[in-house]
Amino acid sequence: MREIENKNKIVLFATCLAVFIIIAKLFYMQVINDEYKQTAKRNALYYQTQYPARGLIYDRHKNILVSNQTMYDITVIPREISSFDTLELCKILNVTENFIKQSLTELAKKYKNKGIANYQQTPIVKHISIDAYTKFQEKSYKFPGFYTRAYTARKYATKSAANLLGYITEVDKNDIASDNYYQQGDFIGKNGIEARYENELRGQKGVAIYTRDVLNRIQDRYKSGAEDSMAVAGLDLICTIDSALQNYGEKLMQNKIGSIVAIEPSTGEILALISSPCFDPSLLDEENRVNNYKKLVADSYKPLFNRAIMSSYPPGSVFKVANALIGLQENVLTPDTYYSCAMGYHVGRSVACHSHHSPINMTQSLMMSCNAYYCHVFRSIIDNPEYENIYDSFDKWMEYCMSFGFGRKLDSDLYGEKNGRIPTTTTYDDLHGKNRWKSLSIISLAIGQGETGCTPLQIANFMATIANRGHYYIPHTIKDIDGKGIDAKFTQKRYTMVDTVNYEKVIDGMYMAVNAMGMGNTAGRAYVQGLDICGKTGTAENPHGEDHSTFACFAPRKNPKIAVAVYVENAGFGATWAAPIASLIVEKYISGTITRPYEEERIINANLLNKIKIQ
Amino acid sequence: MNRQQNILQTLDWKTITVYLILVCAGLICIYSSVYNNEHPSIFDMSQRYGMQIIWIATAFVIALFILCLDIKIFTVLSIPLYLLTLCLLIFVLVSGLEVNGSRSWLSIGSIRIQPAEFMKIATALMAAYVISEHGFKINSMTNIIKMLIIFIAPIGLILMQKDTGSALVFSSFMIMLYREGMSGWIIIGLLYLSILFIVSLLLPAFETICILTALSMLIYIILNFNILWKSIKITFVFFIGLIFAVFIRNEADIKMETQYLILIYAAIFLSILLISYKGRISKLLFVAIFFFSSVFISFSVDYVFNNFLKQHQKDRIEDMLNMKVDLQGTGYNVHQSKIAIGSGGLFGQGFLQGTQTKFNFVPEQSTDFIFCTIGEEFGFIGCLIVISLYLLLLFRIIIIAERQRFAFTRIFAYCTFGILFFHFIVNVSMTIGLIPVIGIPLPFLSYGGSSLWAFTIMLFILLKLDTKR
Repeated sequence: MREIENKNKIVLFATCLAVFIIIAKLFYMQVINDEYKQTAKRNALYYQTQYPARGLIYDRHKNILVSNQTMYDITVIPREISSFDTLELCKILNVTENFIKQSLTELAKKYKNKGIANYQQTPIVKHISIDAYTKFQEKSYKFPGFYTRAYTARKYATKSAANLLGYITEVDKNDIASDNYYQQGDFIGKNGIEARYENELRGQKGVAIYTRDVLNRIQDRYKSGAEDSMAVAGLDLICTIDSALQNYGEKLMQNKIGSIVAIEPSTGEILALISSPCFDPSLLDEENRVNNYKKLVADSYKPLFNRAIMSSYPPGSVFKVANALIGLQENVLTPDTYYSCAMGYHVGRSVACHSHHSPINMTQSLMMSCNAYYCHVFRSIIDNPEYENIYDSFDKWMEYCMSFGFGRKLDSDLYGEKNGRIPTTTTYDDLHGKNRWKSLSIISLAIGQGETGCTPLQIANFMATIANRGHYYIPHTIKDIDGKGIDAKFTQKRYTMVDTVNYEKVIDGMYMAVNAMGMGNTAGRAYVQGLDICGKTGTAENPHGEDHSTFACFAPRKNPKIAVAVYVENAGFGATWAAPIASLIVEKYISGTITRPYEEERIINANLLNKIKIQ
Repeated sequence: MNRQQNILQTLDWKTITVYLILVCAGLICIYSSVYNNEHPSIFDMSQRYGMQIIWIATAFVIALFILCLDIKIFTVLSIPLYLLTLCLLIFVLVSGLEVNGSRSWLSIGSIRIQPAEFMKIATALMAAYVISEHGFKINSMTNIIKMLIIFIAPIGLILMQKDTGSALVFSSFMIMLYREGMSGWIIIGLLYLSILFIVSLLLPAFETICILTALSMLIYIILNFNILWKSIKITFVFFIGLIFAVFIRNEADIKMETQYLILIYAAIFLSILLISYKGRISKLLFVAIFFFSSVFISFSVDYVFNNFLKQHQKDRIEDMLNMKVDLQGTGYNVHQSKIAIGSGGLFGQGFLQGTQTKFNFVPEQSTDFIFCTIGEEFGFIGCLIVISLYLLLLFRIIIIAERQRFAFTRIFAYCTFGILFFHFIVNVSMTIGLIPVIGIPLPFLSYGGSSLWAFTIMLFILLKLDTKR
């Protein structure tokens, strides 16, 4: 009998034990572990992203440059597909039967491998035309499982400024990893204004939350939309580009490699930024990007390389202006300092010069671009007895250069701006050994050769600085963001280390270089009547072939409206190509008409591509 | 009049109260799990909750009817009822309705019933009748055969219907048999076999054998507790020898897998021990038999698993043991069910607020997976309440069983206890992923006429019998 009593107690005990295990597991699942709650949300809630319209981009005259257009894809939900007329579908979508079949099998594989439920929409034919879209809509009942998807992509009203504007693509893994705003299928700006002003342009995505059932069918708004958020459209940008000037510049640069940068000196606004070879920005729009991107990358002339801000060219004779300014400020040079030139500076390594009368003063030296004169100037700067040694004087020289904006990023809003190059004392210590170099060893710097490199943007900015007689505004491409203005750093005057009075002295020389006809001026080809262009030619020796033809100028002399830098790679003398191009740009911008159609025609028709050595 | 009053007084009202609460809770949960906006009325007969109301009402009528019957009828009718239900099962096999792969439904007009549910009652009555006979001894051979026939006949028929879940329920009669004198070792043995089964599937052969070796030596020490030191010494010698054997194998570069080495070594060691060791041979023999039969079973398990079980049964076992994860396939039900219950938290999402429930993420939610609704919408607290109600009901049944003068009632009570216990524990455990999915309903809560009727009939037969305690 005792045994029996024990037995029913054992039964009770076993029951309690089983129940205890169940309760323990329930407690773990429901109270301790949070994972199930998260999964439940993912299960039953469908977060439909509300995509904002991307901000539009206008030029400085409010002409639209970049707008949005709706694109249409055909998507499928594999599990809903039943028999359909393949031929008819192909006809509507203008694709081959094979394409549809292949896409469907590929999709099936993808679903299998990734374990995605086959009730999710996936695009199968991308970028169909609006015609195909409407045709399909009419007959969609014939194609169960096939749907359309509409989204916005970029549309370009302009055929120029591709590198400046940039483009947008679908985000990749890195984008998603670096900013949790982005999700698969979002678009992000790459390159140019699209990348630099991504945060302004993209707007704010919204979300509409729906409940969905086990078959992924949308049921209802979750909490009647209480937790939904609206999409906020991106901000419209007005950029500083004058699209007429930009187009004109690109036209002038056709069949040439090089760059034009035009800046409005009084504001620092970039009026045109041309990197040649140019290409139509539509080549990289949603419809064409996949096909064209690889071609552009493979192009040996590197059209995607924005030369205007990335290419560090030797500044050449343009740099003589900088050395003149430094000399004046350091009191080792006056406008009336005369040096003689006998076809060059024949001390040490010897720097050659062209034939001109001698001796000459500073104004004449700029006008005639005398190499010997600047060797003297440079040596008097570096060997200035005011300084204890060459290290101090060179550092000072470098500081001046930096204050002009050389050798460093200008901190502009251009995407991918490069430093350029100004050597430091260490550069020469490494090259020659400590204390083993002197002014003569670095004499190339006098005429902007050797270890210097400037981007066209830096040269244009330097011209703007001279035009402003001593200060500049950081060059920028955006005039206004949705009526809210721009970053304050762009409206602040930046002074150089050279006084205003000294600028007026070099401007004389630059004026003469263009306008003093018959006096041995080097830039006569840039002369335009009544525009008072002040400029300096440059012929930049480089290891890649013939010299780069460069010209930098501003105009008019009083109240300058535009500063321009032009580089034409391997084109030879600055006066031959760069100077006329720059003068045409100035003329186009200031007066709007061209007084020298023959010059314009010569430039446009010139093909200098054969001079380029492709590396 | 007098008799009527007598019934009302002796009726176990506590049990009836728990029963009523559970049935109502079931109705609420079914309403919630199949609720849709188009049919908001709970009395909508086109919906499952409307139908459930009909089932509940008819169940009450049946319960009343049972209470009015004479108590003798249950003993008298137990054999005919048993045979009749068996015939029904055979009939179902011949011309039954196939639902979800098992041919276990009988269709009479628009009503479908599942005879297997009623077979449990008939078998319980039959077992109670046979065991309560005067002079019944559970250990006699004829009785054992009798019992085996009583249980195996319905189990066989139900298995032939491919309704494994219902067949497994019959194992709950073990509890009654245990109470009526069967040795507890049989249950422990069966439990050991099922654990061995799981371990064999989960672990590679080598580890299984290591565990079995250690376990055998432990049992040997326990059996020889009176000569503890000596048995520990022998165990020690065994393991030292084993390490030595492994060492020799490695040195001699004999290509033999470790598990076979252990087996051969154990056989040699035990033989030497048997020869040199006089007396207490039975204990040693027991350990040897335990070890080698366990190894044999363990090795056969893989073979049986791969060659005898059907794919869906294999899948269910593999899912429960986490042997492979296939959340879109066979593991889907349990995964979704766990998500639903887990998302309930402490207090639940609230009535009709459960998203998993509402949008049919859990299949079979109003029937076998009704516990999900409780878990999601009423949370841990709700689960606790429902579990407490079942515990209360089970305790009441044991109390009722133990206060009987007649063996028949007591045996029937233990059968009822066993069946309810099995259904409850197995159903809840499967929804929270403790055991593989076995398709049996949660008593009184799950949707379905057959199961509600069967459980009601069973409970009220017990309550009626109890009035004559």
